[in-house]
Amino acid sequence: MDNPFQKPHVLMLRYGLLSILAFIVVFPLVWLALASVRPQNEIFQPVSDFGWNTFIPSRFTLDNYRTLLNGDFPLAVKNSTFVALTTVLFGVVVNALAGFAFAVFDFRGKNLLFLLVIVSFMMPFEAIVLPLYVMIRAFGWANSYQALIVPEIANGMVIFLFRQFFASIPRDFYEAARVDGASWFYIFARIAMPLSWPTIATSGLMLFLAQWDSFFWPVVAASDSAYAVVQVAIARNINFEQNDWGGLFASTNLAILLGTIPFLLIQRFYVRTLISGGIK
Amino acid sequence: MSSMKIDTLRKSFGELEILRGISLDVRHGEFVALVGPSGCGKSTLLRLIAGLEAATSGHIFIDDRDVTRLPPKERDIAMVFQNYALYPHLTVRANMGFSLKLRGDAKDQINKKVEEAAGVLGLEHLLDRYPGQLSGGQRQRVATGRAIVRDPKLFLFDEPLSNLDAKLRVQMRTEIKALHQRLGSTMIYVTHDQIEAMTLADRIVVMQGGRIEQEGAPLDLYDRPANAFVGGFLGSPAMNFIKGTMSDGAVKASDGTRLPVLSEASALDGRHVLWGARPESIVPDDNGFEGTVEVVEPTGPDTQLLVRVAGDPLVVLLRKRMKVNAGDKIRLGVVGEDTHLFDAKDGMRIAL
Ligand SMILES: Nc1ncnc2c1ncn2[C@@H]1O[C@H](COP(=O)(O)OP(=O)(O)O)[C@@H](O)[C@H]1O
Ligand SMILES: [Mg+2]
Repeated sequence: MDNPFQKPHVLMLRYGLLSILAFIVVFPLVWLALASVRPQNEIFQPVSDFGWNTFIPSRFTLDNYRTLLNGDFPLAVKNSTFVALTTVLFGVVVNALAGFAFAVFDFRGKNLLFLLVIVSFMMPFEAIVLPLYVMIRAFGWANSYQALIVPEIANGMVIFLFRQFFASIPRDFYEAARVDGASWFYIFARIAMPLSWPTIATSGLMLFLAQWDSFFWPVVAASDSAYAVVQVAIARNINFEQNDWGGLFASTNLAILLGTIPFLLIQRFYVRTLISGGIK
Repeated sequence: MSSMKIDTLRKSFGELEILRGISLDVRHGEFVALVGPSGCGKSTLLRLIAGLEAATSGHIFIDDRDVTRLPPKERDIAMVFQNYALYPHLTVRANMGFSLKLRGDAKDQINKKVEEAAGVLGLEHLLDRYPGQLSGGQRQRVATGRAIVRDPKLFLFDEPLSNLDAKLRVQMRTEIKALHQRLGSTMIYVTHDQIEAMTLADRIVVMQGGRIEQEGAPLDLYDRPANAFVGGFLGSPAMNFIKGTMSDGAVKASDGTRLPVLSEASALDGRHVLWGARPESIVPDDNGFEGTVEVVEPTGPDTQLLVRVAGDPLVVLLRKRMKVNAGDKIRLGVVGEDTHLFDAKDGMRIAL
């Protein structure tokens, strides 16, 4: 890629195309960010009247955010954060355990079971909403944190990721530990998990974002406003009576910014590869 | 008292029988080398002894206790793996102390033992490093160190030197031998390198296809291989074999060439045999059998020749320099009548 002998016009063409692509991706986000700091009445004005004003607000205001912070939104952020972090915590442990079993043990029905795991993440969530809701009701969990968290803990994709990683750890690691007297659980917790930081980071992120972005299931399972999560709160800005565009853009913007925090936090784990060195 | 005893041990993976009835008795303090071609079941046997794999039938005793059904940790063994299996997220110290910590030893006790082992292996200055920061030879030593801190009843090594380059391998071979002499522990050592086995072991066990072909002291096996396979497996360059029929106390090859054997062999006349001679036992001899030199390889001290005799290639290792050219005719004999006869059909040694 970084060939210094590359012909200049090829290079220009490449960067030109990439810039256009970047613009297409970034522009809506920039517009969103800018719209959220405009006064309510000005938000759609520059669209019909395209010019510099499209990009530069005539007046910079935090009114939209102020309104947001005095409303239900902070509660929604709190709910979402709690739900997402709890899901990550349990999800990583449960799915890693399942992945470890698939990777390391031989048991009857293993292949069929693993096939089901794969099918489970191929299947659209909408297909199981109704039976799931019936189950949640039967447990008496409607309008509760359990309803939001428990169904999201087991995740076929994450089990698959962990299985692939654990299967790639040389068997000798496990066997050396067994000869040294370690129990399987000890091996899982002290050998396998410490080696799998990149997978833990990726899975944690996937579980977090799945919860942070989830909308359909929370609407179905916990419609009570006390359990409203971020995406539900965002949607509440728009209804039949009135559209609070400023609130919509400000809350969307906040949701995006908060959602990137975990990504920034764990980025460094992608760089570190812990597996090197122990095996020749 | 035997340190470890195996009684008609069998292991199948599904339909496939990998170990076909192995029996072995290992004395206290003995160094036993398991050798055999790749895939003959050496690692499987070691894993069965370690308890990493369950036996299909048969019994394993360690210090006269039946451990066949016990999990690895109740067998009091230590194993050194081919690729060392050092935990990359633990320091050398933690790696070496791993089993002691699991056993519940006190911290200062662990440190003392780890430092003692590190002293024996020259690892003191590396204790706080991670495996990724060590060279191949150092990793090998750490893996050995992890085994010796426990002072187990039995050491198992699975090709521990095969990942090292040739020079380091020779050095570590010497170290392992010294370690065995120092500790006096029972060791079972798997290798496919027959030189390693010859130099290290008190006793060599040659395996093939899940069976023990022969066991015994290295030089006994070298001098009196029980069958053609063992004869060909031990020794480098390998023993030469030529097919023939016994007639008038010699082996008559397909083209009539007469290959010498011990004088008392005349009773075998008419029998189909495999004539075997080690490359270093064959020398030029004006009264000997004839061959055509095909390749001449001077290595400095030695000269290695490839000679075509009765249509078969024959390797000759001369402990001197010799002026011959490819294409020359040469007459050869065998020193001290050091020849071997095997049955042509089943390859078993024919006693003379
Ligand atoms: N878990 C297993 N399942 C099926 N076959 C196996 C298994 N482990 C080993 N084998 C087979 O057993 C044979 C012997 O293997 P191994 O003991 O590793 O040989 P060696 O160490 O002598 O090279 C090989 O053919 C191998 O494919
Ligand atoms: Mg092997």
